[in-house]
This record gives sequence, structure tokens and C-alpha cells, in this order.
Amino acid sequence: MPADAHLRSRLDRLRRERAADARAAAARAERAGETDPHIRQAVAAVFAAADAYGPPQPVWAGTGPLDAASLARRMARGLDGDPVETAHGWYVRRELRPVYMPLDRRRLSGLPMMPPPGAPLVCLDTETTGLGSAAGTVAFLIGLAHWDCAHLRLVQLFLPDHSTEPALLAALAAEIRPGSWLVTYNGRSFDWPLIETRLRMNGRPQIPLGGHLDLLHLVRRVFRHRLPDARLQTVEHALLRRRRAPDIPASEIPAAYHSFLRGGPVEPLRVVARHNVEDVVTLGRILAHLERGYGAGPARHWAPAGDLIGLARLYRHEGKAVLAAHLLGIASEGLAAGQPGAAQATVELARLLRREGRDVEAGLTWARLVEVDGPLAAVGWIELAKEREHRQRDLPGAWEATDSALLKLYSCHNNGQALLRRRLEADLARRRARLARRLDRAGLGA
Amino acid sequence: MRYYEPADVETALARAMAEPSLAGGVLHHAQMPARPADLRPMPGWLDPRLVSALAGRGIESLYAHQAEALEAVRAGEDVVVVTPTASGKSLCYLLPTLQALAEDPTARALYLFPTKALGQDQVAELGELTRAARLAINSSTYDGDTPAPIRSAIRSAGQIVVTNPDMLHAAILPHHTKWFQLFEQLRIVVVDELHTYRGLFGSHVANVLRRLLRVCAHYGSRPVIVCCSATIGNPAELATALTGRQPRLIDRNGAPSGARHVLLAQPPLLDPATGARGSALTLATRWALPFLRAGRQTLVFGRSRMGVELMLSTLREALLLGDGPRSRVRGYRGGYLPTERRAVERGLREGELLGVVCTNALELGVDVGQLDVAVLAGYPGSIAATWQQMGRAGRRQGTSVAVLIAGGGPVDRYVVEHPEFLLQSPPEEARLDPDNLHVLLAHLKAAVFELPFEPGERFGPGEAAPLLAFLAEEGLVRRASDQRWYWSSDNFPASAVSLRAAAQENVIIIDTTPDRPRVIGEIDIFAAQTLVHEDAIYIHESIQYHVHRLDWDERKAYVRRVDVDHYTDAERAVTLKPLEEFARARVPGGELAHGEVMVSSLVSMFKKLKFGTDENLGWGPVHLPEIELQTAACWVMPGRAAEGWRRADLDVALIGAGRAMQAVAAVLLMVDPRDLGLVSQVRSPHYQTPTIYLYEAVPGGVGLSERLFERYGELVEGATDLIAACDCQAGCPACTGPRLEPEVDARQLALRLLRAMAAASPGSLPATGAPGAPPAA
Repeated sequence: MPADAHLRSRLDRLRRERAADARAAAARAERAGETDPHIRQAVAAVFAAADAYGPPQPVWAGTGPLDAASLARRMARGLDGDPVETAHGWYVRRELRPVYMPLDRRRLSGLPMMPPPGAPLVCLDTETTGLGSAAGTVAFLIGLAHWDCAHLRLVQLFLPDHSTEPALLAALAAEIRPGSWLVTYNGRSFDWPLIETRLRMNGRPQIPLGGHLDLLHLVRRVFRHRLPDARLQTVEHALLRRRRAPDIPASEIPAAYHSFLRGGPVEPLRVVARHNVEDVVTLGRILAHLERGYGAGPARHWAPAGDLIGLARLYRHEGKAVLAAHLLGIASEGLAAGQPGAAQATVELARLLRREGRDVEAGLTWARLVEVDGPLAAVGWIELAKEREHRQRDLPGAWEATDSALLKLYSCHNNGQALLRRRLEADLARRRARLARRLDRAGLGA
Repeated sequence: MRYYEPADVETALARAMAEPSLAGGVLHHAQMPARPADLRPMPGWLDPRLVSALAGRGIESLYAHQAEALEAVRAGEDVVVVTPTASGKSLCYLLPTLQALAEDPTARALYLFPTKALGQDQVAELGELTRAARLAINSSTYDGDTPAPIRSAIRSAGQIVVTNPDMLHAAILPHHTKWFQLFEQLRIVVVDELHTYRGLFGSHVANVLRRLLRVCAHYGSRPVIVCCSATIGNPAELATALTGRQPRLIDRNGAPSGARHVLLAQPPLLDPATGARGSALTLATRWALPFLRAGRQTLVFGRSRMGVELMLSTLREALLLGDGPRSRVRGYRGGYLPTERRAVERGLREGELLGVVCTNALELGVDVGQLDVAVLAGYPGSIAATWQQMGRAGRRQGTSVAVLIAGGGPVDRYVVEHPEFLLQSPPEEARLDPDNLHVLLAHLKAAVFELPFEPGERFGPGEAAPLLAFLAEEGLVRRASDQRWYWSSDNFPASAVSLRAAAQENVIIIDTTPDRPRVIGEIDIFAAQTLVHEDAIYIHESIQYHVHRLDWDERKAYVRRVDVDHYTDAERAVTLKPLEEFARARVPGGELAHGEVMVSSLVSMFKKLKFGTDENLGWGPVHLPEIELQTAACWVMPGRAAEGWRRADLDVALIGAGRAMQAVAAVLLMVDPRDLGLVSQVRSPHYQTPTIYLYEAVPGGVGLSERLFERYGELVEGATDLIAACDCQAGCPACTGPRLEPEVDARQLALRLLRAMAAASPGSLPATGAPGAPPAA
């Protein structure tokens, strides 16, 4: 068939071109006098591969692929798991020693976003062949931690071959009891849409959930103010004070799996599995940390004010203004002592109280802020000025508060928010002018 | 005398024909009578809400083509509708879609438009119709401008999704699982402006559609495909190549049209010795003036951006006289910003603008309403494009005028001297090569990513297995133990391919004259090489700018306003190297081959030319990197025919014969002459023998060179005729190309070579050689 021969000859030329490109790149690296042994090794491999392409060979007639059963067995051996054969094919299941993790579920459920105390909890984290949840990305490892009274029961499900994905997904569906709450980190945007994609690709029914707690959202709102970023490992280190054993960079995980599928070593996957276990257990640890440090009880009085502000915002978002006010009250306790965040908490508390129509308490809270005379006192004075001008009709009092606010703004030059300050100053100047007119009209004079 | 006296089109034409300098250049004047509408009753099965909505817009019956399309789509047939501009084409797909949705609200439709703007226009029209019909139908554009929260609503509830091939390729297909509601219920796919899907872009889109149909099959749907096209020669063939299915051709236009005058004209002969003629641009502006002065809306089409600017300046200057409607004449071309363009389109539609000088940027589906007069300065390169541009003038009632003025090239001359070519022969064919290897491989990757390949599954021309095996060697796919092929790489293949390779590489033009520099336009890198190199005079809206810096890596050109009496013209040097021969054949006097080549384009100098006289005022160097193009070519090595020649004579003969062959090839294959490039070598560094290459201007080619290889006999015969029939004495731009050395008779030399090449058996087709046959010694 000439068309076919034509295609083959063109493909062969493409092969030669690519080999030549790789060779040229390797030659450049060699000329550059590379000393790193890894790179030297990689360069040698490129030369070997380029040479191997010399005469074009028919490749698609090559050796048969490794079959799913032997891949599953090899994977299971290397990972201390069990190869499981099902009607849908093979998967590898690995159970680990449970991790002790007591949780007061009732206390936990009092926190915002949290699952009800009776719902089964499953922490889930996947390792995948790429980023995003587009159709060509596969979850090859699904790590699960079932919370079981005082323990996390750990299960990992591995995919030994592309073809047996239905078996993996069936096993996953069996693991997630009806009504379960899923606990993930960025699972709302990544892990779970990916699982849904995989189920759809394989024509399987979707797995119903009782709810889905994505800890990334909570961490961002509660802890982000004192973390350099919101990555899980940062949280682990900065919040839970845990240090990980040498780990595999996330970007190298897909390659480890692809290389195994092509007959490569299984060892890199051990590192991936360990990484996955750490991630899953960390999810449980974050829950425990939240329950102990922020659940109802005396412990939250020691929590940083910024964390409590974040939690209060989440409560408010859920319409629980009383709980939010309570947390802000705790956070503002350190106002007199000048604790960081306490002034901000006081501002938010006063605003919340006013929104709730608790004007008297709001006024008292503003007064408290002004009394302490911290950097946010200006905000307090501005609010008091509004209060006195519009509600109490106390024009001289409003004038006085306006001047105090201006002075306060003027005295704390270096708070870094020049733009905001300029805007506030302009607002105050207008207010002052208006008050002067009204005072004149009232015959009070300034 | 009154310069500006309102008049109807006929009167204005009579005034123009009364001027000897205009009438004298007219070679042919055709009159096309008005044509009544061919109407059909509304089909009885059409939803009464739709019938009353149409009645509300004054539509009581359908045009023949609309009725035919409606019935065919209802019967589940794919169709391709080919009728001229403004014939009510969009109802051909709107009505079947709305009918399907009225019958079953869970049904879905996907509309593809080549550009975002056209898609958004369409959604507006769709909205009007559904509102009038009181149908609660959810139609939305899904493109780069769609905000994220709306996107997920469109995915789950959009009944008519309007998008472009680029979004389908990069955002919808790779995420098909999130679009399952669309794919499960997809009934109708609309491909509007089919004729724009040609060349490389078309080849890409054909593969995107392959992927679309593959995903539909996965979800168990088999949508009907409705293609709509402007007039081209091979709509059914193009639709088949693009969709991989055989549609029913609907080309019986039932819409009425007014009477039309078509005039073919050429500029006066200035010098019989050199064959030099006056400028087509000048004549075009002179033709436009009587109509503008009569208050008739007129479009003047130029072939180049430079030409547009020159004509715009001339017209505005002419309208200065007697305080004419100078500001009602505007320019329009690629390189103007979208807001500027929208303003011009609106101005034309609303009648506020009288004249627009434009490039073919205005020919594509842009809605400017129907105008009175179209003047074409130069043959646009194809019959289809000519009719598209001429079709811009023409109302359903009332007379319109179209004037085609020949430019300097041989193709132009041929067209105006042979009116039957334009008026009677079918318009050219649009070509694409969906099996272009680079394109095919790129989309195969995306296709495996989307769904694994079954053993024996086909993709495009044949079984996908050999190509998949190649991708497996590259470490991108893997054959699993169920023998299916799976994507196995952490790359996202769709993001690595742009359907319009050139579009991303635009050079931004920044005017630094005002205090705050502003962007005045952008152009592609090939054009940038010759138009905005350093020290070029760049003309925009008839204002001259001097390019003082070109930052090639950043793709930015910095310009400043100037007022000088010259313009610049950069010369492109093209070199060519064959990479692989696909076939070779023995032909009279030598050998013929086609295959893959590497073309390098380098601009190294420019000339400064005085306005009006084109007098050479000097030159300057251009320092820009070479641009490479890997493409397909057909080449001839006139071995024996070129024996015993003086080297200098042979050089002239090769160029002359090559130019004529290039012109004839464009006519033979009915493509734009700019789709084919020419390189001639007295001694090819590759073959060590004289060679003439005709290469395709599109990366990878779209199959033109193979057709040239097959029709070589006609090519030589046609080139011989073209030169022999020319009026000039020793070669001219209309046959052998611009004369390089005045004392050499290029005409006679080229003819001698061509006759030697046709000697043995004139007009016979070459035998097809075996692929990759070794070059003859």
C-alpha cells in the first residue's frame, strides 16, 4: 500500500529528526562541560537512544505489553499490598496500621463548615498522572483514611494498568459508605471532579456523598494570615509542627507512575505511596487540631486573634452571628494588652454588632477601641463621629470625634496604607466641613 | 458645475461612463437582470410559535433553499447550504434547531463560527427570534470572554452553545465529561462560514471535528451537521473533507436580488515597449468618485494594506474639492483595532458612512448591510473572493454596480481579458488536507487524551495504530493490557496546539508620538518583516509613521508620526531546500517531483520610493532573523531542456517560465496566487541542476503541490500560451514578471525554455513515479 508506505517513511523521518535534535542538545550539554553526574548520565542515555534510532525499525510490531495481572502482582510486591482480581480486572489494595486520632465529633461539628457528628468521615487524597480534571488525567492512587472512633483506618487503592480502572473505581465506591462526608485538601476543585470524570469516562454511576469538607477553603480563611502560602505541607510544618521525611516533588509523581507502567522500577512508587499516606493523615490531624484548639472550651482563648477572626467570618457566612460575635469577643480580649489582631477583632465585632442592630453594644465597643488608643483608634473615632452626628445629633461631639480621628490618622504615618489613609483623610475633611456648616447654622460655632 | 449631486446608481454609472478616461478602460460590461424570489410555503409541521414569530418579522413563506434545508435536517440528513451573502442562510439552521428544541427541550445544539465576533452576532439574532416565538430557549456564547460562573451554567443548561473551533479544541473537548449533557443530547452541529475553513486552519478544524464526532459517539449521540458557505466551487467536497461525512448539497438560491452591472476594466497602457500600465489604485479611486459624489454607498477593495492607505489618502484629497463628504470615507483593514472596525461596520449599516476603503478583512461574514457599489482595485486572487467582494454591493431591490480593475500581474490580465472566466466558470475550490501529518499527530494526541483508542480504531485516513505506536515511542501514549491505547503523559496536548499558528505571533505597533504611547494596530510576523522593519514608513488610516525601533523578540514595533513624501518597500529573499521527495516522474526535457521542503524567508533591505512616481530615493538595510517554513512543493528540473544555455540567459528563462507557471497554477488549481510561492535556481545546491520550485505558503501544505504534480502538462502548456499571447515585446509583469535587465528578451528566453520542456509530447500527463524513487543521475 503506497499510502501506508508513505506514512511510514514520513514517520521514520520524524523519528530521525527528533533523534538528531536530542543528539544536538546532548552534544551542546557535553561541550558546555557539564559536571553533574546525573546530567552526564542523562546525556549518555540520549546519545545511546539517538544511536539506536540509526536505521528506522518497525516498532508497532514490537514485544507484547505487560499484562495487567503481572503488573498488579509486581506492584503489590513492591508496595506491600495485595493484588485483587475482580470482575472488572485487577487493582492493588494496601491497608496500613491505623493511626491513633481521637476526635470529639460533637465539639468538631460546632465549628463552621464541619460535618454533623454522626456522619462517617473519609479523608481522601489522590495521586494523578497530571494536573487538572480533563479527560486524559487518571488517578492512579487513591488514599483513604476512614475515621473510626479513635483511629484513622488507612487504605490505599492503586491502579496497576490503564485498562483496569473500572476495578479501582468499583473498589472506591465500595469504600465510601452512604452518607459519608469527604475530607480533602483542594478536593472540591481537583480530586473529586477528577473522580467524577473517571467514573463518567468508565460509564459508572457517580458516588453519592453526605457532604464534602474541603480543608483548603477553611485553612485559607482561618490560617492564611500567618502562613506564607496555603500548601498542605506548609500547613503541616507551620501549624502542626511536623517535619516530613524526604519526599518526592509533586511534579515527579506522574513520571514515576508512567515509568512503572513501561516496565520501570516500582521503588519510586513506594515514595509516592508514603507521600500519599502523609497527606491523608495530615487531613485528620488538621481536624484534630481544629477541634482541640478552636472547639467550644477554654482552649480557644489561647488561639491567635487572627485565627478567631477568620473563624468568626465563616460563622457569619453561615448566618451564625451570635457565635461569630462570641469568637470576636474572645479575640478582642487582648485589646488592652495590645495583642496583635485584637484591635482588628474589636473593629469587626463593633461592625457585626451594629449590623445586628445591637447599637448600644456597638457604641461601647467603639469606645473601647478609642480608649485603648491603638493604631485602629482612628477607625473607632470615625465610627463615633458618624454615630454622634447622625444618630445622637450631638454635633459638637461629632466635631470632636472627627478631629480626634484626623489627629490619630496623622500621628500613625507609617501604617503602610497610604492610599487608604489619604481617602480617609479626604472623607474626614469633608465631614469636618459639613459639621462646621451645620454648627454655624445651629449657632454653635466651632 | 456641481460636484456633489445626489443621484441613483444608474445615473451615477452613466456619469462615470461619460468620462472617456473611465469608459476607455472598460473591457467588458455585463448586466445581470434582477431575479425574483423562489418561495415555498411554511412546512405544516413547523411549530406554530415559530410560524408566528416569523410572521411577526414579515416572513410568511420560505426561500427554496431554506425549505429544502429544513426538510433535509428534519430527515436527519447532513446538509451544506451554499448561497450568496444576505440570502437568509442562517434561518437554514436556526429553524431546524428551534424546531428540535420546541419538540424536545432536552435536545442540544452546537454552533461553530470562525471568530468570536460572528458568534456573538448570531446569539443576538437567535435571542430575537426565540423571544418573538416566546420559546424559553437558553442560547449562550462560550468563548474566551465568558466569565467562569456562567461557564458551568452553560455546561449544564445551555441548549444552544455558540462557540468557535479554538474553544471546542482547547476547552470543551478535553473536558467532555463536564459537558456530558451537551454530548449526550447533541442533535445539530452548525458549521457556519464553511469557506473560511481552508488551508492549514481548515486542516486543524477538520481534525477538531473528527474529535468531536468521536466524543459524540462515546456518549451515544449522532448529530446532524449543517454547513453554510459563501459561494465556492466545491462546497460539498469541502464539507466532506471537513466533517468526514457526505452532506446533501443545497445550492438553489431562492432569495431575490436586484439588477447588477459588472464592469471589467484595466488601467491605460503607458509604454508599449515595457508593457507598463497605469496604477490600478489610481483608476479605482477615479471609479469610486462619481458614485461617492452621487451619494451612493461605495466600498473600495484593495489587495494590500498599503494600497488601502494610498487609496484612502487619494479619495480624501479628491473630496476636499468643493468641501465634499471627506470625513464620511474611512479605512478598514487588518491592523485596525477591533473597536475602530466595529465603528466602521456600524457606520456602514446605519448609512452614516458613505465610503470605505478596505482589504478583504471586510469580506468575511461581517454584517455591514447591503451597499450600492463595489470597486475592486486588483483581482482579489480567486473567483470566490471576487464574488464575495462584489456581493457586498447588491440589494434585494434596486441596481448595484461592481467594477473590477486589473492590477499589474499576469493573473489580473488574464481575468479581465477573459470575462467568461469570472462570469461563467465555477468559483474555485477551497482545499484543506486533514491528513497533514503534523496536524494529524497533534490532534491524535488530543484525541487519545480525550478517550482511549480501541484496537483497530481509525482516525482520519486509516487505522490509528502506526501513528499511536509513534506516539508511544515518544512516551506519550501506552498500549495497555486490554490492547487499547491510553494517554500516558502529564502533558495537556490540546494546549500545545493552536489552530491558527500565525495568530499568536502578531507584532504590536505602538505609536510613541503622544505623551502616553498607544497601540495603533497589530500585524502577523510575515507581514511585519516587510512592513514594520526599522526605518520603514508604516501607513495607518492614511497617516504616515516612521518605525524607529522594532523589538523582534518582544514582538513590538515603536513608531512615530511623520510627514514625508515617500514610502518604503522591503524585499523578501526566499531560499529553499528539499527535505524529502514523495514522488518523481520523467517529463519531456527533464524530471518532475513533489515533496516536502524547507523555505526560509529573509528580508535584508528596503527601498524608499517617492509617492506618485515610484522613483527610487535610496535604500536601507533590514536586520531581522530568518523565518522558516516547512511545507510541500512541486518542482521541475528541466535537465535536457536546459542544456547548452548561457548561464545568464537560463537564469532569466527560469524566472520567466516560473512566473508564468505560477500564474497558470493559481488559475488551474483556482487558488489565491499568494498561496503558491516561486523559487528558481540555475544550479540547485541540492540537485546540482536547474530547478523551478512552486511551494505552498502554508506550513505542511494542503495538497496543492500534489495536484500540480498531476497536472504538470497543462501547467507547461498554459504558461507557454500565456507568454505567447502577451502584447509586450520582451517580457512584462503580466507574463514573465518585472524585467530585471532591460536589454534581455525575457519573453523569448522563457518561451524557448517552455517549448523545450513541452517538446516531446505537449500537454501529456506525466507517468506517476514510485514514491521515493532515487533521483536520476
